[in-house]
Amino acid sequence: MRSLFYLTRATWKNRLAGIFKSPGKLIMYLVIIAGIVGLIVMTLSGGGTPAEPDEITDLVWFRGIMFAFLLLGFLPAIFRGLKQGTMLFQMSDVNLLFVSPIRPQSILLYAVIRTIGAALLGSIFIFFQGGLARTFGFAFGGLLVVFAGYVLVTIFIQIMTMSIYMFANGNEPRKRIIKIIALALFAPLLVVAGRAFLYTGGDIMATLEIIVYSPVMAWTPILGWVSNGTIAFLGGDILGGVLFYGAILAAGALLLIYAYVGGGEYYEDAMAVTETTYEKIRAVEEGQINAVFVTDKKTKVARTGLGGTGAKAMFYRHLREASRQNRTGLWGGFSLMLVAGAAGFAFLNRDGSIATILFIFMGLNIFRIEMSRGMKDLYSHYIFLIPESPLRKMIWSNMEVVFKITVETALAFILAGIIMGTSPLLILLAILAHVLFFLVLLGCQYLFLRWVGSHVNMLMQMTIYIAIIAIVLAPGAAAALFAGFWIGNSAGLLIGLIIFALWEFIAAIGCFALSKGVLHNCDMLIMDTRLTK
Amino acid sequence: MISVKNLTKKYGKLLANDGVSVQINSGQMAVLLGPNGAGKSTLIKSICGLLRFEGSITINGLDNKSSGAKKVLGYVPEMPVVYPMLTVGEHLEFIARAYKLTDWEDYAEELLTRFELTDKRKKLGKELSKGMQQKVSICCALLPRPKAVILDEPLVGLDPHAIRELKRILVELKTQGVAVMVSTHLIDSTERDWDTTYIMQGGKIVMECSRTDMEGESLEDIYFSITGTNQGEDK
Repeated sequence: MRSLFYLTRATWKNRLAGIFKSPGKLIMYLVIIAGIVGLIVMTLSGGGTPAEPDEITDLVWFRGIMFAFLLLGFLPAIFRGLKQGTMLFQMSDVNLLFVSPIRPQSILLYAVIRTIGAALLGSIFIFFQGGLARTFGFAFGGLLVVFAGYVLVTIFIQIMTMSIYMFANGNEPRKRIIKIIALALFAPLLVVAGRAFLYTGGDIMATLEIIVYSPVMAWTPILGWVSNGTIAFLGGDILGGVLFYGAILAAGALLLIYAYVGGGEYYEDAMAVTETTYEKIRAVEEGQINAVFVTDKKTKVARTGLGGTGAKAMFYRHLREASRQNRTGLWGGFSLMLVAGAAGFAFLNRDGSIATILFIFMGLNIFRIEMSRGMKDLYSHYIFLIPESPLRKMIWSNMEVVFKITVETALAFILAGIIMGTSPLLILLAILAHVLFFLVLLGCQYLFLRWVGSHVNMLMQMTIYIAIIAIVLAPGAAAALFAGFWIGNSAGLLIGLIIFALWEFIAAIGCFALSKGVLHNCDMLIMDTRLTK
Repeated sequence: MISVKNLTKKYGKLLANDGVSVQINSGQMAVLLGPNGAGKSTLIKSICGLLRFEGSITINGLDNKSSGAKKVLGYVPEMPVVYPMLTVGEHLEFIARAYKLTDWEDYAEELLTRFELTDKRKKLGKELSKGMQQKVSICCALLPRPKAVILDEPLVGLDPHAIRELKRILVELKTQGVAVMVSTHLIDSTERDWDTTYIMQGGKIVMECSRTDMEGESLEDIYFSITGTNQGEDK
């Protein structure tokens, strides 16, 4: 155990020394810390003025929001556990600790403690939810409770995933048992939801209200416990909060004991997922960016062959790859989710504006572009070596994603527009604004590549990328907002959208013109698998 | 054929290549040797137009970033990069289309046969082992019948048959007048066929020697006399 203390101490000592040795890194960390502290202070100061009693939303709704949010991580974790386990360990643990005479139980504890550290860091975003806290009438202390609950569940999920893997690895009957248990956990809530839907005649808001007030939600293991424990604390019921949080701790401890009893039996299971993940990371670092997206899923090779010549061959290659990746071709589950999400949002906000959907879509797509096939091409040498002009290569390597986004946007906005009763002209303008926004994003990516290159750390890349987008779009956005508010009503929205779309068009052309020749004047991209170098 | 003059490449503060000059003529095989971190891969990537650099690089007399130069250059990267969702056959078809090749099918067939890939024609990139991926990568580089070929550690991951075949191909390329540049740590593998050797250390060419200047010394002897036995890593 002393060796593990030494390992932890030495790792942190070297990490800190590394920061102090590099002034650039130190400044970057200071800026990040200052940013976080600033946001916390803003949250605190915002929370200092309590909301009016009639403005405060019932805490029960907060339980529903927390439950739904955590469900997004909980369910995939169960399936991940059935399939591949979790990343509690690193490759250095496998190679150095697993073969050492240190007790397996101590190693497991060390990994869990390390995970707690990562969970604490990953949960900082909770402190930025000042607006949410104000809506529900609690301040910084309340955010601390939410933070504790979130960290608790995050750690539990890690332990649960590993335990499921240890229990069910390669054993079909046991896998079935896990699936039945998972279904049984949520079945009562599903019954409540179904009944409420029928009872309210399909009124979604009324159905949701019945669900969040239902005691069945509060008693649903883990997610119900944590969300109910949180609102118990927030409502001043300390005993209730302790009981619910304690139940999660007890469940986590039981799973840990299960792993403990198994002694070193978890080595094989933990090693499998650690090695697979490590291989993928290494492949990505060595230029095989596609390794991340390769799955064990069997791919049927029905039709073969490509089309086009020169740079156009890249477009046809993308189409062929897409047809094999998804049965639905270019449009996968995410596209469907976007279209359904837009329709759902429109249904719940029939009096709202299509501009809201446009802003949500714009936000969602800022980082989505990074993983388009055209952008991924920049991580391998082929696109650089194809004997064609850089501009042609840029256009044809992005044709697939532009086509995909155009169809996706058109479908989502037309559907949402019809539900909201928006005029066809406004729908058309919103579609145009979104597609042009995507072109601006592409242009900004190339500008970034042309001027900054890829040899800065990922955090810096993201910051600069977002700054470029903000600078490029600011004049058009400001003019559109000014005109929109000045004219007002739907005519204002119409004029605002026209101005914004026009500016996007000019900005996109400008970005592409400025990054002309980029493929012959930049370094091939390297995937930085760490947040900082 | 491949001409590098005063090449300097920096990654931030790190000077990866420092005033490097290399000349490889048609029908010559140049071997690039050096310890890890000496700057070999950076030099190769710069020649292939994958990096920004200071200095001048020409291929067949053309600027290395021009389309004309790209048409006559073949590159086998250190790590084989294949498209997971493309079959072996489609990789070659993609190269043929992207380079606008005509009458390429027979040569593609020949390459697949020589590297024992004919039965893998319909296998997807993601289904191939690392060695197979390396073979596909080599076939892609050779399909356009380049006039200059650059190979970065090409033998790593290959099976004995493929190693023998690649060595034969390199000799054939030489006799066809192709300029060949090979970076390797396996000094023995190129002992028979090299014409010029460049030894790199600390981002610089510390020695250039041609076979005709050698007097009974092996490449290995020269390498260790230059780099020392306790070379370590340069970076």
